[in-house]
Amino acid sequence: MNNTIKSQRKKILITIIVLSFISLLLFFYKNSPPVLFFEGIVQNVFSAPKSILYTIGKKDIDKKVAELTKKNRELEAKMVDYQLLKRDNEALKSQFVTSGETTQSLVAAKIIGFQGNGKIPSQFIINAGKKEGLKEGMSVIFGKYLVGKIVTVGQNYSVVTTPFNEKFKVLAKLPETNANGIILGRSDLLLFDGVVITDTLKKDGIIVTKGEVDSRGIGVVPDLIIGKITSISKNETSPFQSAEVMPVIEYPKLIDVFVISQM
Amino acid sequence: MTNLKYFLALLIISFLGVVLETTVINFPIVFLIASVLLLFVKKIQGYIGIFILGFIIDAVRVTNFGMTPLFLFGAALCILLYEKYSGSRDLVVAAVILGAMAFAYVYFLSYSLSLLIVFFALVVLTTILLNILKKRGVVFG
Repeated sequence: MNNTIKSQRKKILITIIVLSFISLLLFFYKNSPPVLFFEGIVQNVFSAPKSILYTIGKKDIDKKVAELTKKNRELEAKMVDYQLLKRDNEALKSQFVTSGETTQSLVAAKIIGFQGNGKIPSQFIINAGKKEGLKEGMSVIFGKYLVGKIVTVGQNYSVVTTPFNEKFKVLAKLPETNANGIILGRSDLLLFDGVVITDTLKKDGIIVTKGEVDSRGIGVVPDLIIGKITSISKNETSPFQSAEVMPVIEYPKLIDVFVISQM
Repeated sequence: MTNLKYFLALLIISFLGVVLETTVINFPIVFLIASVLLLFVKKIQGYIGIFILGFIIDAVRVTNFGMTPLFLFGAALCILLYEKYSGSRDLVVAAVILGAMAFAYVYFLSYSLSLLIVFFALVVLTTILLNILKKRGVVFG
């Protein structure tokens, strides 16, 4: 009887060691074709139920609120457009320089999951991946708003870091005064940091992306709306000033987003 | 037939766990289901099931493929080694090891730590309450 228990325990120990070894191998060879094939199948199977479940309860119940939110967003976008047009106009007038239009390619995706706090998620999982041609570093948008940047790409899913994520950073500017800085994620707010003290920051000013492209031609397009300045922190003895920024889009209500696959 | 029923029930619970996790709640449901299986189903088929479940949740979460089975089997190895050298098969010790592993898992894979603390507090409270009721003969005769 004792021997049977001992042999059973030995079998279990061997099984656990073998499975641990296989797990370790798969962890190190996660980009090998069989692993990617398995990952693709699993992600395909769970894509529909996760998408349906994520959408439930996210649709605006109050149509009036939804309409007003939409109008508000449109006005904010128009305001930024106006400021950018004004600035461009001035530049064109003074320098008489014309610039060619950029062509963008967008990939539509649905949010199917999140990580972090439900109200201010630090990451989103979207149902588009390598098969749709997505790559790390691509920007994710909703209308004229920046939703985040892709950090991990799977076969059919990708992980997007939102500006709330502490690892998130993007070059930004305040078009109204042309103050440049960097947006940093601070878990429950965004920090517009590294702004030269001589630049002017205004409360309620709308912060947009400055635009950044890496050597692969992937990055964040300029003039995407990030958020509104809520408070300014300025110390005359310091060479830089910063401001707290609140995003203008409601992250928990987002469902459909777009990935800029070509800038 | 009973085994098949248990298997089907586990399959449904696991499927729900995979779908709910990160979609509705940022809580390691699958890890906890697998931990319960590790504690009570000490069979080779059970371990293979846990292995597959771990890979499914890693594939769905996109990041750290292979991390969940590594955490689970790391805990299982600790439990087995403890049982081998102490000669005891205390469930409380095994549960404590799995609990510690769950905290490490939540920390490394960015799940909600506060939800896990609330969950463990509820589990401990329920266990204490059931023990008191059992002693008084209110439940389980």
